[in-house]
Amino acid sequence: MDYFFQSLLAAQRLLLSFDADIWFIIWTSLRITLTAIVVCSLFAIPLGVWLAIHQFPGKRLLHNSLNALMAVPTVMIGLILYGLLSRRGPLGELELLYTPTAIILGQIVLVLPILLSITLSAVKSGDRQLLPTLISLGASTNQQIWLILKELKLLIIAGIVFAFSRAIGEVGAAMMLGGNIAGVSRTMTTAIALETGKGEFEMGLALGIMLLIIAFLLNGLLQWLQGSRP
Amino acid sequence: MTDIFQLNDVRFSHDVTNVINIDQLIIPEQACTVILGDNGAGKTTLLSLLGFILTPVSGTILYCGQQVSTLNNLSLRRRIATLHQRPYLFRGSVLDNAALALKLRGATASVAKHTALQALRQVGCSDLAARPANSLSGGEAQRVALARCLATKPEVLLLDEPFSHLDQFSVKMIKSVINHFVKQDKGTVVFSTHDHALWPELADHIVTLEHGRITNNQSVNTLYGQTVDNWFETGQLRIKLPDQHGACTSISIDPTAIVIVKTPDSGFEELLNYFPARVVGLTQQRGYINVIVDVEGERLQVWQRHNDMNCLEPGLGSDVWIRIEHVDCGVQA
Repeated sequence: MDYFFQSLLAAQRLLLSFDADIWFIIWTSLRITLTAIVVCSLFAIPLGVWLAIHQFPGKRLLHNSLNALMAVPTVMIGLILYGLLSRRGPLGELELLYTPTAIILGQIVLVLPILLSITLSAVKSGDRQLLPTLISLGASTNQQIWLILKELKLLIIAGIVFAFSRAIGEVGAAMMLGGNIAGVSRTMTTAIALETGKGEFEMGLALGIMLLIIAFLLNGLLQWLQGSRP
Repeated sequence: MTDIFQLNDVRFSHDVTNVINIDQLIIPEQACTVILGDNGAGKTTLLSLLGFILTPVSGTILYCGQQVSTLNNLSLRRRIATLHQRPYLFRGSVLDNAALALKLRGATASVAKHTALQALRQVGCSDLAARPANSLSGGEAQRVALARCLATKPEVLLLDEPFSHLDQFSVKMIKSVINHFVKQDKGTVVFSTHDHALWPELADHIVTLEHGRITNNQSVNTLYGQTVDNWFETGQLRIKLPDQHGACTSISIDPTAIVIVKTPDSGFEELLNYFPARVVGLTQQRGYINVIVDVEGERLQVWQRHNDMNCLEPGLGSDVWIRIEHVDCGVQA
């Protein structure tokens, strides 16, 4: 127990001393995950609303498949993308493997089914009169999507926060696609795995604390938004 | 009077159940059409088809002679306004809600605001303009939603059970808006109701729906129950059926096939389908008077000519006798 508390204090000192390496890792993680979430949200959320408001054959199968894809192990996503991006793979010429872009791609693949499924469920669980009202008011498809997003923004934001938490906390795909290269593609989770393996528990704990702080901050932001709902 | 809607062989179903099964329906222009039917008869679905919110599984809908397709759906939808039974109001103020449909049509903020305020004034809600929409009572919300419909100056106003769960003031206000819309604005109104006491003073044309099908337009008294031998029993009433009828779960009684008498005929105990009743509603309809009578808890409407009524002089609450002269068997059991 003494070892754990001493490590905790050392981790706290590391964070408060603004160690450049630690803060660069934190920044890299945030940059990669924010990019993945923003890029994915921009097309997944409107697409999710579009899928929710249109009827087509196989819609239920698609929703069930998206729910199943939410549970795919991240290491599996990493493995498939590794095969595609490696030098001998079909996308090898792009030379993306072991770059932050490769991790961003991995995170996009990870959060895409999450955002689509959550958006579909949000629209489905919303007021049943919303869509008929929009149609009867003469809204075009784009106007319907925009107004549904405005009405369901809190549910959608909750979905984005969930997707962000899942992406920033994943380690399998980031390790395989980013290669954990210091100063380039080392993220908080890959650094925690590496430092703990090396016996540098304090460093791992410091980064773990930062991950927890980010999770609490996001949760707090969500609570605040829900509390300030007009 | 020309036709604004024409439905031919229109079918609509949820999963495998046919909700709407209409061979032909014509809705006249610049008139008020009422769709009568009990809960689950398909009134809301029919209004959604007329408002182009739903697309029929088969059949055609003509609007002003023009066939509705995916290409002209949006432009036609913008010529019609629908007031839903439980209106949805968006986040924001009452004025934002009233102006929304105009903004969707590309109106500038100032034009939308000005027109929305006029519409709110029309339904007596201009003082609510700055209020958050989610703070309104049911009746206020219904009137604001009506203002949102009127703001677009539609050709057709579709109203789904517009009087349900409303206070007398709101009912009166909506009735007056419907009258004004048809008579002054030369618009077309189609509204649904299951309450026979509310529509007669408004309706020019009646459509009766039963299990998604249009029944005899004049037969608006529908009673549910079961046949026992040659009788139809509703639980409250026992009505003698015509000979050679099949077993049925509902019967229709034409309002003109009921006769009101002030005092019972001699030997009335022996007569069939002769019941004591109380007058609970009296409304003037074009060419006749619609009398709502309560018969052992069942409400029936009786259409009487003015001359007959003058002889009877039945007032609200007066006790009378009715004789049902003809009964049609409805859905076969």
